[in-house]
Amino acid sequence: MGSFFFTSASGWIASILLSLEILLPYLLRPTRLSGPLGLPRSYSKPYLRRLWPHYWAGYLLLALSVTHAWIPMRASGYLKRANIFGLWFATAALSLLLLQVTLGLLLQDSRLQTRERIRGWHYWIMLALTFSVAIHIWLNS
Amino acid sequence: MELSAEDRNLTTRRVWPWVALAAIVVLLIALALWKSARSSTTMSAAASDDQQFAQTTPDSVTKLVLQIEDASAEGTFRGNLLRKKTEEIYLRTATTLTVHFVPKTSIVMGKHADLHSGAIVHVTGTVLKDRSIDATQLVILTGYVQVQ
Repeated sequence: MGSFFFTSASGWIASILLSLEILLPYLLRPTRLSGPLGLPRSYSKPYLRRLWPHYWAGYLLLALSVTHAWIPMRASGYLKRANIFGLWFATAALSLLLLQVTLGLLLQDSRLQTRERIRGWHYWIMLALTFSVAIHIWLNS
Repeated sequence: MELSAEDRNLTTRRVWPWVALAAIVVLLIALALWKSARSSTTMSAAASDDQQFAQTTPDSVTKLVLQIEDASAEGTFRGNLLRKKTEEIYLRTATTLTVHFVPKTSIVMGKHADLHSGAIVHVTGTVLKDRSIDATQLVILTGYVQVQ
């Protein structure tokens, strides 16, 4: 049952981290969310350097997601009961997460020429990733 | 250099949203760990083997793991009593039991449709005079444990 505990715990913690990961960029730049909280007054470093919690939460999220996928794949029988459509959405979410980390690494370079376009992709992939994770939770939790 | 009262107030106002966010995240992670541990504990709850079940008396509450052999009757299934070897491996015994349940009976980790032939179920219930079980909770273990 240790496998069940680690699969369940890593999945829920990854979901919490995903929410935090999405929230952080909106708190770390002047927005309608950060403004009323008085956060813009605390910004002393450039935006890309302020985003370090977003970067590390992303790396941790990827590590947790791989662990979450790896444990039930190793434990025989776990996947037999699981909804297959939910697992396809989970696979899509993991692939999108890998793509997001790659785009995020590119966006850390302030001299990036195609910044606007890649930021757009980063945003739309975030929405697709959130949708895939929500369907996976709905069908498999 | 000592900060003025106004600077201290400003610093506090800058810090508290981050402290609140960290506290919410820690609380949610603790809740996730608790929920996962609770589900895991429910699945690995203690269960009687055939010898322990033979010693139970009518009206006593018992916990057993069965592999369903016949679930054709409404509100009843028959199954082979399993003996726990490890957390994930159970052994068949010579004992066969009948379990009664009603629509109100709690079904954990699954649903009514999961109570079919071959399914593995952890049963909590009361022993009746005819040695059948009146179930109060059924936990579906199919896929999580193996039978040898």
